[in-house]
Amino acid sequence: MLKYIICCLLPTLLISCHETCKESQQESVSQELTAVDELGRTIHVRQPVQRILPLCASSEETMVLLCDSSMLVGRTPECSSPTWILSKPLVNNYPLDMEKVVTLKPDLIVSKEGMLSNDQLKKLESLGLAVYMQRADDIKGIAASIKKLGEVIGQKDKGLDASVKFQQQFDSLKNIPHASSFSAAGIISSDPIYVFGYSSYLTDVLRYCGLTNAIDSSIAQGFPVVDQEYLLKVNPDFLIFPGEQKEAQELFVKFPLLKRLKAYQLHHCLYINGDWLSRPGPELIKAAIEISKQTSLPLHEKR
Amino acid sequence: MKKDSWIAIALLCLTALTFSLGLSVGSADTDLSDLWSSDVFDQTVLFHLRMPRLLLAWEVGALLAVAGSVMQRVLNNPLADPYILGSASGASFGAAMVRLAMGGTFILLPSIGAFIGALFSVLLILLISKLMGASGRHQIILAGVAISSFLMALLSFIYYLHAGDNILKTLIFWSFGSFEMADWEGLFILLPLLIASLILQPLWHKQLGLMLLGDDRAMQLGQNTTALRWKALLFSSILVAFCVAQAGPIGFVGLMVPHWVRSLFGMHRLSVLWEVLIGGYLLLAAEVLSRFLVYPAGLPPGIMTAMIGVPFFVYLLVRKKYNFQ
Repeated sequence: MLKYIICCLLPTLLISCHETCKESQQESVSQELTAVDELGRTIHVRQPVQRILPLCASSEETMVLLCDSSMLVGRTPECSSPTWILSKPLVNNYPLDMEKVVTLKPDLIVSKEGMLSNDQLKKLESLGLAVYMQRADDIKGIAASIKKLGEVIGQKDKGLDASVKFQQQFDSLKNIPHASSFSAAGIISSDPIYVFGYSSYLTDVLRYCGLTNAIDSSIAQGFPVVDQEYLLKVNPDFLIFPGEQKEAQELFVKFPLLKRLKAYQLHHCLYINGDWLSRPGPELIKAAIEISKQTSLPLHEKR
Repeated sequence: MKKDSWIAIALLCLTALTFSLGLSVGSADTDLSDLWSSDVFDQTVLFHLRMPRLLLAWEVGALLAVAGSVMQRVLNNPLADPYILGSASGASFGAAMVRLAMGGTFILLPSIGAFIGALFSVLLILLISKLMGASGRHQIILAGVAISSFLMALLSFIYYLHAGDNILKTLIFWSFGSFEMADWEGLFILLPLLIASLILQPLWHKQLGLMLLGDDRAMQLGQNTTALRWKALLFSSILVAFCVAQAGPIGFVGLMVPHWVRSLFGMHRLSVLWEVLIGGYLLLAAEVLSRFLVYPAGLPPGIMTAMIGVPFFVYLLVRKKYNFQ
């Protein structure tokens, strides 16, 4: 008898489940936003977006501007600002902890170009997760990215405000008097000597601070390796190091010939918070303000 | 004059020509004509950057070729190379540990760590093979492969732990090899080793030749195979350890150049001269060519040597019907 009941009930149950799933699927399809991310990929994002997972620090800082803290469901080991983000579940991004990502059930994952491989993107898509990839070549691009992300997560006004404010802060740097024709090189690491290339966002940051990137456009890469000879040739007026003096000390101890650089001889080595400098997001303005302060005319003349 | 002498002269001329070309290639607009210039910048570029870099490439190439030749003969194995006893993995591990423990400020320490790591791994392998009750070539090669794999696993573990850190870039780049840190002091450290190689290898030529007949035959002919093996392996490992400390681990040269020399000129007492000339030239040419290919810092020498050397090696295998023994 029991077998008979089960045999009758089971197909009914399965059919009803299938119908419910179909309905919910149709419902979700109707509530999807189709957008094109900054790499030109078409993505489908469930609306309203309630769970966001940033997979790199600059994306996390952007999302902090645009949404409530409750919407951020995780963080990567590099995400450190603001401090409340540290209470969020940790997701490893190098290598990517795919299982943890799936466990957090994000409506939207945000990352930036180069942080996720094509294979990882395909895998995440196949798991039904929407990934928005950011791309930062210059300040306008970062501002546009903030605005676009606001639209994608349903916070259009917040996005627009944050984007305009970000751009205005940079524009205001242009009003500070700077000596013209000074060049600067942004050092990323000293062994090998990785620098911010001409095609990196730092070129634009320096432009707002009245400086030019000493690394010329003949090098195509955004973050190239250069040798001592190249640095001696371009001989920048300023050297910008991320963080404390450690990286600079290492560079000059390892390559003592670089002490002949103008920047070293004139004590024009700037130490800018590495998190601000290396993250093409909203915090970049802090790095720009710091660079501007240390290279602006009155201070520079005093030096 | 014999044909070989003409080839040697041609090779020396080619080396001189490539060296001159190398002095004219780089990021700065300085070239050979600025050699006598009084401009401080030109002098710095030519005498403190390009010249030591090119000479170091030549010296390291020469020494690795000699070390490879000794290893192949003493182990009677055509696949033996200077790194078969774990010198490369030992050196990489030593340099990585020092970097992680001390940071980057102590400039010489990674090189010292690499030197100690390379020598330690070789001594460990010789010890293991002795504990196995024999110092035969098979035991040494097996112990070498095992220790090398173990050290590489430890190194991968370190890479994994520091996956997102800046130091990972440093460690990985170091493992490609580089001549960027070349200076005159480093060149003078390697010079006595080069002289020792030129003296010792001809002296050992007959004994090393006997080893190619196999251990049993060599012992029948009065050769103390164990003693010679220890001596030769220690000597070549010291060469490798110093090279790695100066320029990082650079593969391929020590494996291929001895085969080139044997296939082109045969084996004789003065083979070492060919090994020095060809090994030195290969790395020198690789360094110069890499500066043409990738602006401004060039490609790591390990990549370049394989790109230049493998096609030529395949040609030798196919056209010359080359046989190791």
